Amino acid sequence: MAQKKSLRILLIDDDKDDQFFFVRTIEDIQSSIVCELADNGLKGLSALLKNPNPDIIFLDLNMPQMNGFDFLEIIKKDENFKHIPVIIFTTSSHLQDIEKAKELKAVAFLTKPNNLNNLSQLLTKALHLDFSMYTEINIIH
Amino acid sequence: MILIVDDKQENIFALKSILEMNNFEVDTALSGEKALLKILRNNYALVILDVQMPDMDGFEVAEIILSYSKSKDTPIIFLSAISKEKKFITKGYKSGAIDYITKPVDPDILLLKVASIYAMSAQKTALKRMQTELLQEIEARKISQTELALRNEELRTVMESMPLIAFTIGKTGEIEYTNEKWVEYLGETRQLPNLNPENKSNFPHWETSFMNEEEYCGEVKIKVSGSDAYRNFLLKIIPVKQNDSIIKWVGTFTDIEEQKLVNEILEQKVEERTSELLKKNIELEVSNRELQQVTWVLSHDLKEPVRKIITYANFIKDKYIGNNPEAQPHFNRIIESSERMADLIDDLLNFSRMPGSVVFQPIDLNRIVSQVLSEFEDEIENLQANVKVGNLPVIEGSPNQMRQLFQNLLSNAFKFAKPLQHPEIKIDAELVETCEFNSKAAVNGNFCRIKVADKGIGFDEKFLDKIFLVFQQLENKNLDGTGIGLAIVKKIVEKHNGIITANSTIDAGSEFIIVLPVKN
Repeated sequence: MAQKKSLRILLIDDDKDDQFFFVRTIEDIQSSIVCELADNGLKGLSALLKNPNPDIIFLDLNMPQMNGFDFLEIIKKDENFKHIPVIIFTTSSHLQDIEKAKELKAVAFLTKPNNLNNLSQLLTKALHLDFSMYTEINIIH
Repeated sequence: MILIVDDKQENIFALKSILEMNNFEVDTALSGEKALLKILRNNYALVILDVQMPDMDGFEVAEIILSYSKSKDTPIIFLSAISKEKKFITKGYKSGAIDYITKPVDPDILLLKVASIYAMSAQKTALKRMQTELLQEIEARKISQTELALRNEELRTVMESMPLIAFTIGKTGEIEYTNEKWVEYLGETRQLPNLNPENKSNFPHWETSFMNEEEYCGEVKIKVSGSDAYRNFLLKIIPVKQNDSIIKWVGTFTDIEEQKLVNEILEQKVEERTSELLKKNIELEVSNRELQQVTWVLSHDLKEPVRKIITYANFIKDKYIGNNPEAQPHFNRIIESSERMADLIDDLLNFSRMPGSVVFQPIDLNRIVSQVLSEFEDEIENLQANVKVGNLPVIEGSPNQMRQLFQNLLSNAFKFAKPLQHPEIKIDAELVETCEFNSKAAVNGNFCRIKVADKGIGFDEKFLDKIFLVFQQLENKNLDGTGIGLAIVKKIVEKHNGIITANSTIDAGSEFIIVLPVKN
């Protein structure tokens, strides 16, 4: 899907280690992908304002200052950003979180795995999702 | 019968003839001695006695007759031919005779006299009999009166000796007798106290019982004489019957104040205990919830560092020691152990997240199972597992918990598959009559029996009790898994008011049987 122009991803996650592995894994999958990083919801918003229209947002839930759901709620109400597909990227696999993510129109829910090989597989799956055909949240596992 | 006593046969004959002609029964004696013998044996209405007789004259005979108790009332007529002087006649009357007739006898006069004497005698006998009867009657009445008095006395003694208020009521309804306790409690009144001061309709009215001639029983509050306090009494009034008709009523008031108090105290105690238990229960629930929260927070916080350890260990292994065969197995141990720890934490999280109550809704088990199977896609593909699912019913339950239940059972089946073999798993269900494992199948049954069978390594059935407990890994320490999965399954089944068990044979496989109500 992103062969013509290079894909731009915004990762909003307060965990530095997860940021590190995410970027590494994404680079392994496709080196042309551009990853932008933000440490929490608020910083994610300002990153969006500075540099609008990333192709995908990967969003952690549990973060200081502004958590993932608050961020999601805000951008889904904003005409400029509501079209951007958001994939929840979290350690949680709690059903309530999945339900809420679905409610707030996240396109997919990806539980952070323990293993890098698995992360690579899951991210590959996530990047191949067809976001234009959004019907129900995709649980990526 | 008339006795004629004369020493001359011809005299006797003449008299006897006259009397017998006039329908009198006649007996005769030829001497005073013979007459006395006859009088001893028989009763005579009249004795006609000749005065002049040899050996014993008429006067002597009369004297003996009249002094003998049996015959002392027998009327006697003297007959005399010689002793016509006044002194003889006087002597005759003095000796007790009613008449003194001189010979020759005028038959008509004699007959008249005999008849009137006979009648008198009969009357006298009748009177005497009546008197005797009267005397007997009086005697009998005296006896029964004494008995009655005795019985009354007995009743009174019993009533006085009772520690109860006791009284009797006459046929007409008025109080006849009250014992000392009555006076003590109610004073000098002769009226029943107001029986239903609070108009408690659950007690019958004494008046009704009285009219219907039925035993009365009720509870009343009585203001004790000389105090303001009311006490509770049990009032019983029982009819006393004689020949099926009521002759009186006997009533008692039993003081049940203390019993009532004890009862009230008991009730209060029970209430206190109940509320105490309820409080304890709530406290327990709170502490249980707190414990669950603590478990959740702990495991949640533990999860993150363990995930980091695994991720970094994997990263280092891949990047730096892939070509160091000496270090690699040790590193694998780090990763395996950490992964086990991560699984354990996940299970703990799941267990602590189980909600306290279930919101029941209709769920199609076919849909739940196919969702779960899609999550196991990779395992099924990698292990080339054969999973057969029969037609499953719709039951009432929590979709999330049902999903968890099948996830855990399937994960268990995969985990305990025989090494290097393709797992064979079968899920099916049927409706049954009762909530029993061996219940009969029924098309419209109210319960659903679900079986999840595998052909894995199985377990020894002696551990059946243990497999559903938290952290029971049985004896095989080499097995993967934390043993919490089945505990969660059991908890879910119980929350759905169902039952669970398992059959297993080592090296042949296990079968889990769950019975759940269709409606909850």
